[in-house]
Amino acid sequence: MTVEALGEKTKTATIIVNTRAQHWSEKKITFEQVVELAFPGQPYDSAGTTVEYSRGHGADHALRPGKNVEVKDGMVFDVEPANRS
Amino acid sequence: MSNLPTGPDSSIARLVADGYDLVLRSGHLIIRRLPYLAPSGLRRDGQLVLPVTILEGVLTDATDHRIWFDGEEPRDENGGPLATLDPHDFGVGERAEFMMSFKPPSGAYAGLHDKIRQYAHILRNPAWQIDPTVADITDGSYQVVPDDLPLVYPDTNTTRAGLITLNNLFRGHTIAIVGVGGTGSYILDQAAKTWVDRIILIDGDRLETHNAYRAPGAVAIEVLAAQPNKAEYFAAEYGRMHTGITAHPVALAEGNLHLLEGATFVFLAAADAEARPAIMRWLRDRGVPFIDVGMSFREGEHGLTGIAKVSAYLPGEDSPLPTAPAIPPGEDDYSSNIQLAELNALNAILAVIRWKRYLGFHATHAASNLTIYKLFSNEIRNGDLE
Repeated sequence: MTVEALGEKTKTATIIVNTRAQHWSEKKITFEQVVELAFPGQPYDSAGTTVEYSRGHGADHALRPGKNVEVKDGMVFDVEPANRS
Repeated sequence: MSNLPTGPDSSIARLVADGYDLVLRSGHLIIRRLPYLAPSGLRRDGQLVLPVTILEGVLTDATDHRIWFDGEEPRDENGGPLATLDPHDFGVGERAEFMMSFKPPSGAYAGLHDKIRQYAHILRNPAWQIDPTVADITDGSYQVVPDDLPLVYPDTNTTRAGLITLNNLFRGHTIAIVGVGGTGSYILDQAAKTWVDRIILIDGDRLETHNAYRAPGAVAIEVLAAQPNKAEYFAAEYGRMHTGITAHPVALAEGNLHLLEGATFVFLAAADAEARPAIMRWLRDRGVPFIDVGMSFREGEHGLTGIAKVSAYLPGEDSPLPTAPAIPPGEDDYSSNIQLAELNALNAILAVIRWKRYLGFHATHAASNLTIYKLFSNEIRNGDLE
């Protein structure tokens, strides 16, 4: 099997969003999609929402509204308003 | 102010009678004009430096059998070293380079008087060998130089650790803590132990039972029954240690931002700061550095999950300010109401460390203005505000 053939094959990754396992079959995931996985159907303020990821490709980082990130199996996301003290 | 002895000390009285020239300053007893033998082979005068604890007029040694020496490296009769290089700060920019460590045969000195006499003799005897005019000192004196720290009692932790020069970085500063809730109270808990001149507390809420479970220390039930204002309660509590605390029992909003006048650093720790964008703009317009602390935690699988976040807005950085008010907790559909003391405390400590890094108290290898703690991964991430 060639490398290209591998890439075309649809693989489902398991990502963890706010501790819960989710299946994701696309190569990338957007900020909005992560929030939707965390809080399905709930309205939110994107500017006041922090999305963090760990165990992805490269260093841990924040995912900003309108942006996406490459998905890796076992990737961990945190979605929080982080507005309490 | 904070280390002026109020009564006589018998060790000091005996040392003065012996003829020693003593100064009590910055939590240290300094014994001046002590003859010793310098590496050049000449007799010189140096001083012994001892961190002490002062309680109700009585001085106690704040270390073990060791003592510090300010001068050139002291030598014995054969030119051998009497001390090792081990610098100790004993004043702003004042440093004793050498440490002496001689244990008496009994294992410990009988007291301050015994210890100082022994070390003075260890220094003097070699000088005597080469300079017969070196005599016992005859005109003893004792001088107390009061400090002007905004503290109720001496900071013997700083003097013991030899950190006077670094702690001096806090002097002249006024910090403001906006919101003295779970996080703000722990910020105060740390800030009250520094040498900042003034601490301004701003909070319009009352202290209720649930706050007691997210506050440092143990709130008395009688206090909870009276429901004092949080800012006023914490100002009184920490007034037992720091003398520069003022409380404003109001919520900070656009109409009273003047309460922040004079602040050289601000911690925003208000859970419901609708005025947050206005406060932030006001601070940035005036070039006042500030830190915004926020967190949220919720039930996940097999326990709680969430993040704590410290965002630092420092002069010279053009990180974007939020333009919309933070969503009041409970009004966004996914906000939870789970707050816990250890997570509040962690967020507060991360903010305080960031502040101390900014001041240069802590060394900083990578300057990042965002710190995120992720509970589920148990990881702290450095980043930049985007």
